Amino acid sequence: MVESAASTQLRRGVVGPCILALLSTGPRFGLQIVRELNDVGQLLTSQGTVYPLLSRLQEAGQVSSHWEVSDTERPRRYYSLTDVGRRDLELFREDWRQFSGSVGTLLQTIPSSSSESEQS
Amino acid sequence: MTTAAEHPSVTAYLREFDAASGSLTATRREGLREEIASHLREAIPPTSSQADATAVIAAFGSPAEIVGQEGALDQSASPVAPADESRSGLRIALGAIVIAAAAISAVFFLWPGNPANTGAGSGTAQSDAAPSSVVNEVPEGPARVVEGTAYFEYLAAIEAMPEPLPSGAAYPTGVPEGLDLGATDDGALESGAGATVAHFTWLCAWEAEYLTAADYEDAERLVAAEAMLTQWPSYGFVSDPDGGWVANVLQPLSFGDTAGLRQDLPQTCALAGILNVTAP
Repeated sequence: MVESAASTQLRRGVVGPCILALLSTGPRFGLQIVRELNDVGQLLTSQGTVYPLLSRLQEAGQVSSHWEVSDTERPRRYYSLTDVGRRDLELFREDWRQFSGSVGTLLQTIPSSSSESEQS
Repeated sequence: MTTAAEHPSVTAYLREFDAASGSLTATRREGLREEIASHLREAIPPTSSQADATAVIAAFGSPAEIVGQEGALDQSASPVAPADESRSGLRIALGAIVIAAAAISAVFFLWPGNPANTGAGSGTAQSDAAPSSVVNEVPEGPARVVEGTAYFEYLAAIEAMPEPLPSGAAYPTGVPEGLDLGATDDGALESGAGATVAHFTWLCAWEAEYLTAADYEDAERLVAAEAMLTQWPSYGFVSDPDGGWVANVLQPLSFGDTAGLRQDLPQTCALAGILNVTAP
């Protein structure tokens, strides 16, 4: 897939908060997180890069993890949102609302090349 | 750990990860490997077809990409800064756009052939002493950087290379600027670019070594270089279903025909960000 450099950088910046957002509704294991991010679409270039990121979120105190072992399933490491992660997620949510609103407003004032060609 | 109930592709992937992750601390490597193994074993059951396994692994990304991401995160702040560094998301997003624009501009202005580039930039300088190989610490080409995901992919891929460079050659310090932004000269992306640079650096070095040995009529070096080049297709770094490189470059060497190799050398080196290479 070819995408713009700005999109690549933006995506890298927001995957961490998106993981926090997923975990805000309940604990998940790695594969589950990857699948849900994929379902949203366009958030991951490579699924495996989620794991270094989860490790860093844990080091930053934003998520915690524990292993669950059952007789029927494979052992899985579940990640949960911590109080620090929940607070940071709320801050990000507010930042994102303002940021995306500003960018959206700006872009709406500029005619896109496709609409220009439709008019001509 | 390899288990009986594991798809061979998972086993092979984990082996490749072990080879590529030598630059990580033991704790980090073990933690990451555990997660990767758990993910792949669940996503690729032992009964999966080879095609399904290949598709899952392609979407998962190469070990070099993951190790590269690990290294890039080591260099940066935490993924989402703590609350006392509030407004982190906004900073990340805005910073990303600024960095993207700056790096694309840098690639444009520093790329040889651009009228704005006089060749005197730090990234294009040659060392005073003539290097013994076109592949050296400061090769001719675009400016290089020693940070970012692509750089750590590059380091991991070098570590995982099955064979060393020829005597007198050295992996360049850093990767061409802009790889993390997907800013290649044709505007295309993508991740894995750092590993690609390492792979083609190796091939560039051995192709050049072969031609130099031929030029000096040094039979011993010639045999050694040909042995290395013969291994290249088996590494599987490049998809070459038609076997074009083998047919046009490698096989003719058996008959002393270096025309294909001479033609291929500048292209191979360019893929490693090493420019203006001519066959000896």
